[in-house]
This record gives sequence, C-alpha cells and structure tokens, in this order.
Amino acid sequence: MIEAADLQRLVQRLQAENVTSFDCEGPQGLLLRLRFAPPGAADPPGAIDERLQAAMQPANGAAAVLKSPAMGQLCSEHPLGAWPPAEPGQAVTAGQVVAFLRLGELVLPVTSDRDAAIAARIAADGALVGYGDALFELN
Amino acid sequence: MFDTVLIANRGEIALRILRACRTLGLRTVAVHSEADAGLRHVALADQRLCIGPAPAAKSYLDPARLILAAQLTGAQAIHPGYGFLSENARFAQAVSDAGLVFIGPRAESIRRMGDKISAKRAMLASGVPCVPGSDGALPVDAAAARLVAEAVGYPLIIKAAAGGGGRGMRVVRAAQELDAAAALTREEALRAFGSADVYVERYLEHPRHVEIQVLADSHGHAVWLGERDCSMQRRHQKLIEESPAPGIPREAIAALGERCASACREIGYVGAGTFEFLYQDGQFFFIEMNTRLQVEHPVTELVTGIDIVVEQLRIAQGQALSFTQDEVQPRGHAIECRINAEHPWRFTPSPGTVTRWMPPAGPGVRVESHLVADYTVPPHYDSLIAKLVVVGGTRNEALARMRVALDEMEVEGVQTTTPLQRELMDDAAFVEGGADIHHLERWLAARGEGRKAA
Repeated sequence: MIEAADLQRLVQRLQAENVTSFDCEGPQGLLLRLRFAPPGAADPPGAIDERLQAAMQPANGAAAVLKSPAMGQLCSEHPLGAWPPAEPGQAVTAGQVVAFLRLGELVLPVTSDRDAAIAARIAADGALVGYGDALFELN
Repeated sequence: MFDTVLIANRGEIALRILRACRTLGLRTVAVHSEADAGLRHVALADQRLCIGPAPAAKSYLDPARLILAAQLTGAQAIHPGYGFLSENARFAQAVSDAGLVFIGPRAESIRRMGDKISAKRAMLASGVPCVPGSDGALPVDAAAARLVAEAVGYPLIIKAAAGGGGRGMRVVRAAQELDAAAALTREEALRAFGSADVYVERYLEHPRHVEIQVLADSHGHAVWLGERDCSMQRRHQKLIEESPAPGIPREAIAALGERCASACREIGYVGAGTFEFLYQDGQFFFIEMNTRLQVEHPVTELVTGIDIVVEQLRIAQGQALSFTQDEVQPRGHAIECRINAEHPWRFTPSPGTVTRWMPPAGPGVRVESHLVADYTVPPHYDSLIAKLVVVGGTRNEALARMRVALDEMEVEGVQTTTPLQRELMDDAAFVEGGADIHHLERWLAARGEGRKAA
C-alpha cells in the first residue's frame, strides 16, 4: 500500500507537470488511478485536491487501526519501567512510541504511524500478539 | 515428553500434521503468514500466531521467527512438514540448541544426506547400489574432469552436490559438451544452493523412479514400508505416484528395502525418510535420500495402514516403533494425483479465488486438501491445492476409482491439473504400468504436436 505522505508528494509532482491522468499497477494487483482537472482549471499547482485530501484521511468518526509490527508479548510499559504508557484519549504523533513488544530477551517499540488520538486499546496488556494483529484503535 | 507441537508449514500438509497431533492428544500451535490467516488448520489449532508477511523468507523460511514463536507459545516441538526448512540442517540444529524437539532426523543426518556426494558415499558403504559416477566432486581442472567423465561414460548427467529435488542438473551427451555444461551447472549451483560443487553420473535413458519409505526410531529399529513408483514427472516434478511399483518382483523390492533399513541403522537415522532410486533393466540405482516426510506419503499409508505422521510424532517423543518389519504387510494398490492450481497443459500458475470446491469421496477415496469455499490461492507459495489418493484391491480397481473421483471432483475459480491427470488415467502406457520418467514429457510433447496439427 502507498503511504499517505508519498501519495501527497506524487499528486503534487503530477499536478506541477499538468498531468491529467496517471495509472499505476502495484504488487498484488493493486491499482492506483489518478485523474486531474485539465490545466488552467480549479487549483493552482502544488495545492492538494480537497477530494483527495478527504480520501487520504478516514471519514469523520471512522477509526483507523494500529497494527503490530511483529509477533511478541504486548507491554504497555517498557519492561525497565522507564517509559510512561500511552492511555486511551491521549494524542500521539507519527513516530511516537505507544507500546512495546517483548520477544524473549528482545524489546521492540510499537510506534504510531500517524498523528492521532488513541481511541481504545484492542489487544490486552500482556497478550501474545501476532504480526499485523490490531493493537490500538486510533482517531 | 512434549505436549505441544508448533506446525511450521502451511496448506494441506499443515492440516495433515494437525490431524495427527490431535489423534495423539497433542496441543497444536499454527504459525502462519499474513496471507494464510484463513487456512483451515489455523482455524482448528489450539493456538494461532501470525509470524510475518506473506513472503516465505519472512515467515515460513525464517528460522528465528519459528523458534521464537515456539518459545512465545510454549510449544516444545516443531514439525517442519516438507519443503521450507524441513531439510535445513542448520534449522534442525538451531531448534535443538534452543532446547526444542525437531520432529525429524538429527541435524547431522540431514547434513550428511543433503550433500549428495556424501550421501552416495554413505550408501555405497552400506551396500546400497548407486548410479555409476564420479567418486566425489568433479575436478575443477578441465583435463582432470574430462578423464573422470570418460571413466563414467557418456551420456552422463552433471548434478549439483547441494542440489536435489530435480534442480541443478544438466545432461551431457558427448565429451565436447562437458566443459561448457560443467561451468554452467557450477554457476547455477553456486547461485541456487551456495555451493559450486558438482558430480557426474551415468545418464540412464529409460529409468523408472522407485523410492523406498523408511521409519526409524531412536532405539536402533528401522523398517521399510514398501515402495512407491513416481515415474510420472514433468521437469522433475511428480504428478502421479503409486504403490506398489507395477511389474517389479517383490523379492527385488524386499532386498532393496532391507538394504535401506540396514543403512538407516548404520547411519543412526531417526524418523521418516525416503530413499530414491532409478530402476532400469532390472537394476536399482540410488540417487538421493529425502530426510523428511514426503508429499506422496499417503500412498504408502493406504496400502500399509500405517499413519506415518503419527509415527513421526511418536518417534520424536522417544518411543520405539510400535510394529516390526514382519507386521508391515502392504495390501492392494494406491494411486495419488497431485492437484496443482496450474493450467493443465501450459503449467502456468493459476492463483485466484476458488469459487466452487466439491471434493470426491467414496470407498477407497482419500482427499488431502486445505481448500474451503471462497479460498484464495495465494501467489506466494507452491501451487499444490489438493492430493487425491485412491486405494483398491488391485491396480485396475484403483485406476477405476481414480477416474470416477477425478470426474466427480469440482474446482472452479482456478485452473487445475485435473484434466491432464484424467487423460493420463486412460493413457495406454500408464494403464499398462511401468512407464519411465521421460514418458510424461514425451506424451505432452506429442500431444502438443497433435494439437498444432489439428
């Protein structure tokens, strides 16, 4: 899947070149199709189409899910206790550590992939989670 | 000893292993990739854990992930199935080093038999006949290589020492082709298997592929469970297997089987294994040993009544074999068709969603498959979607049952090899029995010509 930030950059670049139509086939048969208004109409180059902006973010009220980057035992606190746990209701930024995964002697950070607020904890503290399992609901 | 088994595989064999574990009251842990979350055995397992993304390198082929998953889930044993890491000596060693039980032979046995040159040496030392060939690796020096090749005789076949399963081979018909063929095979071998070592053997023009199934426990007992004829192959990939091998005298098979069991005792082999031979003009020639459970094991199970996977689990738990060689009494005839999600004539993979799945059934019909309604065949793994195995009192009865079963089976949404296998069930040479390993390819080529002419 294409990251929202990358999509944004792609759209800006295409608009700057006055491209009106762009098709791209990705892995697993995913198709990306972009259609732009002809040059001279609507937005100046560099501006992001509002409809595209809306499409890049979940609709109001719809939650996104933060998935586990690996298998392991979910720890809301760092095993050494040096990191405060993230709580539901808390706002987090992209890249911020929200939990940890314990894999034997290894501790991996779980980071948020976007600026959001933690709506709810999906996986329980201490639970064994798999790669890609849903951990948090984000708003 | 252990009560929880981690199934380090997928598809039909993972379901097979799960069933065997359950019959013994063992707890099952299904580890899977993201693409396999919907597999049947995952749904049935006592515990499931997604270990990585779809690519096998980051899931089923990742030793660290598998061992870690066992530690996280409390599994004390790992069954590797076939393919993937089942014949990876380093993985077997790592499992053992982690204090877990690898359900299979010791790493040392896998290593010894994985190197085709050392395997041949071990077999020769045990009195198992081998294909005449170079004693050890083919010399790199061209002149020395030519001398060795002349002694072996043409036509010959160059094989990668670290290869196997039909990969890394090249036929050489005349001396002037040797240098180029050896160089090419070495290069391919280095890239594919990490070793440029090659050896040469006489190339047999019309051999049959006959293999012996063995079981050995950790108390020094070893038995052979009859033979399988796997001559119906395309590009070294088996499509149809059967037991017993039509037309081969029982005494010859028994003598061969006993040699294999004896070799197991000598090399201290533990677990299930298969000795593969080429059979031509009344003689057997050892080519390689597979130190794992094989795809076609149900063929042997149907004629012997022995559950090979259950025996693997029992052997891994340190138990002695529950039966003696005298109690192995094969009866009847079994045939298996490997149903692959491929175009039946072009053999191009056909991944996609299975919109309809109606497996056949009835007396003597056994289907090993992970297919369920709306199952999507992923493109990341091999294309085997089902094994259709039949057993009958005679070979003719087995053939009849296979024809009926193939006609009855319905798979829609993906293409399968079924139409090809159904036609082969009426092919005069196959029906007569005893076709050699080149027959299928000749048959396909002739059929292709026939279609073009029509």
